[in-house]
Amino acid sequence: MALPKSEMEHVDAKVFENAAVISNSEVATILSEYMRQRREEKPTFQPEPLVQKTLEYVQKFNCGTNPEAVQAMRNYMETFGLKPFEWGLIANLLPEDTDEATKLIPSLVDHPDDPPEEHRSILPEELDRILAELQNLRHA
Amino acid sequence: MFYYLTLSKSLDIHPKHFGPKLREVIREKLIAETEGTCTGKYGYVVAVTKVDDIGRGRIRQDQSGFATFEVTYGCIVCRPYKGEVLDAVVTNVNKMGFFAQAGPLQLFVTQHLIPEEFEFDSADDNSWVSSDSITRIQGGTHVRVRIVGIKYDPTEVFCIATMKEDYLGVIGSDFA
Repeated sequence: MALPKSEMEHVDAKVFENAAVISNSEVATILSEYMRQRREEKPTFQPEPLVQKTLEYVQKFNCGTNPEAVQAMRNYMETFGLKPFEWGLIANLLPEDTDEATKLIPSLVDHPDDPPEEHRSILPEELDRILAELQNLRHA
Repeated sequence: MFYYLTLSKSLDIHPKHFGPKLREVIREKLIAETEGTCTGKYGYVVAVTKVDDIGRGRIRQDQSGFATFEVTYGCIVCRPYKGEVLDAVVTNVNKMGFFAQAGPLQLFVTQHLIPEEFEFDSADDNSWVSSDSITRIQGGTHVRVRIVGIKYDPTEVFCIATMKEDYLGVIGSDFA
């Protein structure tokens, strides 16, 4: 799921149904590759100011510049049933412990109002372990 | 947050381009018309990475000679949502609050959503200083904020954000 449930109602569902979430590190990799290609095609290429600003932003705030490490982190997160937007947020914000993660990303906590089949029962200890493992993968 | 979306757009192409380079012209025109722009529906288009399909051109019936092509393309967009937490760089500070930039997105944090221990200091550069004078919010400071309100205009997205919650606040600086 690309967006929390409450947001999906406000967007064009057809398009966002198949949207892939991209973390800041991945955007940095994709954008620099894209700019390189454009420069090869046309040496006088000047990126739009907005695109340049975005590139600078993702190069400052990311979870690591090594594409393999980021891919390893993504694969690891997906084994725990985390929704795509949650994995994106964790990669961008890199919370250090369960308390920080659940405060910044409230959907990680099972809400009593949600139907039981959506409960994932991620225990706080499990979440701590997941976050610690992510830090390892990041520096590997 | 950034997403990879598949969108489609109608482009009008002048007959002078109806030659061997037509696909390139369509791609260049698509990039010129979408990259760097913003729609309320999909957020800011940051880069057009792939042109998936270019439909068959239909000649317009208005005697202009232009042909309309329906182009399907893959692109990276930045679309924030209410409640999202993200990092931003402070750009402008005034006594009502401060402006910050998160990539293509502009956010405003009003004074009411800045923790009480910060006070406005108009010496030199405007800044917000904490009561123990250790933390300073000024141009170039990195802050973590949560979006509390978004205005989706047809051509712009503007956000109001708060810094007044757990784990939000100053996280670094450009000059550290």
